[in-house]
Amino acid sequence: MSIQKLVIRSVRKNIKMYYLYFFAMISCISFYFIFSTLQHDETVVMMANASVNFSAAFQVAGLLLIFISVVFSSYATSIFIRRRSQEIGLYQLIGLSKGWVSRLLIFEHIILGIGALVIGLIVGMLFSRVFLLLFMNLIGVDGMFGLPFSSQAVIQTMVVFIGLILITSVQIILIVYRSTLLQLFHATKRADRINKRPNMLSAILALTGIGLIVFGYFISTLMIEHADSLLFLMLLVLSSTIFGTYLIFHTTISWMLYLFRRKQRGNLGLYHSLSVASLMHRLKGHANSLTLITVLSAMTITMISLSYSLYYSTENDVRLRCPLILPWKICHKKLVRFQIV
Amino acid sequence: MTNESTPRSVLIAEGIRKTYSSHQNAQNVLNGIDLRVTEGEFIGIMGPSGSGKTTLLNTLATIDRATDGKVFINDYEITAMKDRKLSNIRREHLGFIFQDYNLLDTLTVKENILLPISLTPITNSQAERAFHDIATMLEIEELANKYPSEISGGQKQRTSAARALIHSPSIVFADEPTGALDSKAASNLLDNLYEINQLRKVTIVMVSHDPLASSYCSRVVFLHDGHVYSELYRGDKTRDAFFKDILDMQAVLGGGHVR
Repeated sequence: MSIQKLVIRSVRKNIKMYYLYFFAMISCISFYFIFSTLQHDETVVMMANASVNFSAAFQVAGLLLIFISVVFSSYATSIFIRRRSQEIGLYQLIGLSKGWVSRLLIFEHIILGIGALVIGLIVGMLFSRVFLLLFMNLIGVDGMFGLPFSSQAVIQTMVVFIGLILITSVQIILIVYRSTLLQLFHATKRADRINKRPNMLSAILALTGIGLIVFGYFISTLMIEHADSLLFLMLLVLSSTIFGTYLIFHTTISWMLYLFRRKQRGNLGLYHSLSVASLMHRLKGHANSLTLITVLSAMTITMISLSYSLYYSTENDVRLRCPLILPWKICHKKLVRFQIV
Repeated sequence: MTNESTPRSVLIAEGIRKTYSSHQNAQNVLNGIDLRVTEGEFIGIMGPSGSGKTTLLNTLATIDRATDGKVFINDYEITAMKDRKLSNIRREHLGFIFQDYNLLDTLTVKENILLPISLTPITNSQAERAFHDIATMLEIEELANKYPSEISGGQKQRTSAARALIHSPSIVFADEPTGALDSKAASNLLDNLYEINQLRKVTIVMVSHDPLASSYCSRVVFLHDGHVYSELYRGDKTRDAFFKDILDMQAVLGGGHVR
């Protein structure tokens, strides 16, 4: 049996086994494609040129989307590899070199990745029209736009995700070359490492986490006054709050729980031994996913509330500022309606 | 070391030490083990839990590296080898059987068995013949096109034994091969291994905590606290007599029934 046959078989099997990963990749790609379609749409570009804030926001959102995709897919890849570690060990035991095994895995990964890219682009194209209409409707622009197909967006998406596949391939090579056979055979059985007694470093990191979040929020209050360096400030706020959140999940919470546990002197009682101990045990391993979830939901909530408050306050502002103006709306040279606001 | 009158040594271990060290303390698992396995031997490694059986097997079988000491397989010093060379040694000289089978779910029984020789330049008819030989010996030829999820534990372990033997390795390492099997499937497998050992002159090194499994061996090495405590040769004894000897030795060592 040749390497191609082995790869095709395990890809087929893996789509079944890891369809969650596969579909998450697809949705990741299609969202990025929709985003870049929006970014390259002529009407949007025109508006973005008109406003500095708008284009800065778009750039930051694009970077954030890339960052989230990178974190997400490297996390997914490490789970993917960990689940198959026994298989990787077996290949090496029957005499395949590490280079061969990593070639097999990368080959497989590229096939999965390209499949996800193609499907993601198709799904993205189907939905981008809907999203564009939705977006235009939300910001209240009536305009004509052609087909939302933009080759620039396709190229941008492809470049980003091919870069992503490259990063995860390097990750696969590192995992295969670094782990010993013994680790590979016990990877699935290995429990999360019980965190040792926190030392000074973890106390410092724990406080840094809180400090970073406070700093991030503090900077965000200064943003309006320093509008000229908006992009930099936005990135600073995002990176410090995201990194702070990660530290909080990774160190701060377990450090605080450790302090609590020490105060109890081994007498935890039923509820605490069921909750505190297992929380401490699990938190470190899940810090990545918890951070991702927190950042994503915080962003979603912020965006929703931001757009609603804008929507809400604009109408009020108009009412307050110009209570006695007769606006009219002309559409196709015909007077449609006018009213007293 | 090799001459006409004595059988060839396929595996020589000299002063094997293994230390697991963490920040605070170092734990010695193996304290200088010397072992010599000659061609065609069926050797069992026994000992109470924590005596270093599996660690010894792993260091002998190139799965783990010894902290100190030398291991020779067919006169190649594997303890001094780089990964790339080690994989060649594994491909040509070694076979492995594990407690949890380690079969690939994506491949059928036949494909699993043929996997090790699909890497070597071999014609289809040669592969067919090699498969036929080993599969009839292990009574799994009719399962050829089934997937591992469709067969029983005993059949899985026989498949994995066939995979370990298909490329005619000089040594097969087995780590608790009967650990997950019921007694009937276990004695079935051991009968097969014994027969193959006799017919093909394959050297087998088996770790087991089960005295019954070890009674199939031609020699049993007992480990205690990382030392070779003693050895028993089967000689011309019947299997039952040898089984009783092993039980007696375990009683001396203590704690042998518990893994």
